[in-house]
Amino acid sequence: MKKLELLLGVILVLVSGIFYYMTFQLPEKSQIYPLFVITLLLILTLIHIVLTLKKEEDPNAKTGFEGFIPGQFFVVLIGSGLYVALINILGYFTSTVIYIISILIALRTDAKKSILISAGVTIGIYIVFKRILRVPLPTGFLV
Amino acid sequence: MQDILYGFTAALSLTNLIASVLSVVVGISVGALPGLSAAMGVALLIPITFGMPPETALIALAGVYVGAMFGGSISAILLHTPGTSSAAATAIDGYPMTLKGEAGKAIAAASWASFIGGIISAVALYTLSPLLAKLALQFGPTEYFWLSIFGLTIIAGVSSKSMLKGLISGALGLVLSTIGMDPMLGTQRFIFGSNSLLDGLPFTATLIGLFSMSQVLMLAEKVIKERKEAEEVEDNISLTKDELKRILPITAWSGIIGTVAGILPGAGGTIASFIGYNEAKRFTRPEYKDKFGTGIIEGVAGPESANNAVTGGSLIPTLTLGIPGNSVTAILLGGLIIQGLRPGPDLFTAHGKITYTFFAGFVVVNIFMLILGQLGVKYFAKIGNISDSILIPVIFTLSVIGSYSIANNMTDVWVMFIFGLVGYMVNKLELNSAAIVLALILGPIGEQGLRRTLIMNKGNVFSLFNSVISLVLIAISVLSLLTPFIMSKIDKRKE
Repeated sequence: MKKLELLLGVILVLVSGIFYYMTFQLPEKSQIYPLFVITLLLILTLIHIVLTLKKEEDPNAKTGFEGFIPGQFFVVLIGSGLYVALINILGYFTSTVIYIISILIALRTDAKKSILISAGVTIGIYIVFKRILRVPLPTGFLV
Repeated sequence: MQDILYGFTAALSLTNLIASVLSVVVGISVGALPGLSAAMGVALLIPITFGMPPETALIALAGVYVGAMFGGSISAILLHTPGTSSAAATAIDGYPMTLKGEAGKAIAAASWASFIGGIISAVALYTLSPLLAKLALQFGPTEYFWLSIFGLTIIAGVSSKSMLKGLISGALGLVLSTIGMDPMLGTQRFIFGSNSLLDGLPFTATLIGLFSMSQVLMLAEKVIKERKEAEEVEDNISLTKDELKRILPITAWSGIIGTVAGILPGAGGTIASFIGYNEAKRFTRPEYKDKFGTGIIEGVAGPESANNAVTGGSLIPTLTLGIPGNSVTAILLGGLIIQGLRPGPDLFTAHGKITYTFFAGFVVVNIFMLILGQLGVKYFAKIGNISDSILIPVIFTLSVIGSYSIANNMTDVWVMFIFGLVGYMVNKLELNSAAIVLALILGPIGEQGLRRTLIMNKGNVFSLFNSVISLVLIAISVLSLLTPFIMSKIDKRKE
């Protein structure tokens, strides 16, 4: 738990650092307010880090990651990232059909059901977004 | 008065009625699905409401909000798994009722109580909002600066497990709110080379990421359990006159409590429903007092009235002061701004017709919730059984199309993706997404207020403390920061 809390501290210090760096590239007059809020974040983060370090580790504390299945999680995360990346290449509808079927099968839904669900969702989106709302969806070399 | 009457006729137009029915159906379904929140439903709906007339869009968003608040009770009663955290208190008596074969009665009590709670909060919405909006007329830039500070302190203080983390979330939101153009000088700030970020973070995409995609990741990290089948509803879904009389005083009182909890930023549905449950226990007839927990309608009615009353209550500060007290109203405020409306007095004067149509629509969605909740319960219970393995790709697909369709822009989809990861980490590290969103909304208001005041007064910092309203706002901000400490001291003394 303590490690996780410290991780939070490190992430926030990094975020503050990046924003500080970018703030100093701004014209001087535009720096004041961002500096104020970033410093606020940094001070609160430092208080958090100090309090975490002072606290004794509770061996029974939950980390929030109990029952975490890395395989499944990363398949979904990376699959979802690939899907977004593929939209401009393959086109929105092709990527969506492939994405839904692949994730469903990866999560052990049977193939026939996966195809049906994927078709249902894609047709639903086609009707609502393409026909009714007339959103111009990205087309790659396919649709 | 004219606007109020106009509102009712407009809310009953065919388009608005269709929007009400559909949004309540969507809301109840989202609420009935354990693991999906009202915030998620409302965030995903914003892109669809984008092209609608403002009043229809707002009615649809409110329909999802109201529907989801009630929908949580269906799975609480039939599955013993509250669909939303606000329905956790409902399960205490709701599920035992199901085991006794009284599921229908429990559902009927939940829908009547939700309806009454909702209507009580609608009365508050009609009466209190114009008053509060008038107060907002007196606000200049300085007051808006302090108001934004007040909004941040209160949500940071009340809604997080740790106040420090609440404040950190708020500060992180403030930093993120500086992305875009400098409001005074027009300088480009932190746009990471993308012109799409010139207007700031795309709000809807950010929200969909924080509340919808993060949910996908939360579902994806765990074993996908087969949901148990919802219990059958064996009895009639109705209450006798006597039973309705039994729950009426409790629902009325819990409705008032829920409305107040809704108005107070940060309190929200979960807290309200537990208070509602305890109050029902306290106010019930002596012969039923010992039966709480064994499955009685009072135990369902108390929390359900309270959590639905939160909906109307929470809309009051959102619409009048622009301070949304929870994540759903924060998203709703986003929807309002997308429609070109600003919270404050204008909503009740220049845009009175839209606002009162929305209010009347709020009453209408509550009526539909009452009807659909009882008629459609079998179908909603089936929806509550949908497996997480199906929800994961479907919700993500909707998140992608939703964030894309606001500006027809793939950058927004990537922003959604990044904020999905941020939202997931925020959950894991016990920060507070609602505080981040609130800071994203309040940040620019506060910044403009602060900088305008300083420019108008040639940099004199003391000008920030010149008006009575400012001093009052400072006092209640300090008070809200101190409240958790005072409360814990009182608790210790009691022990």
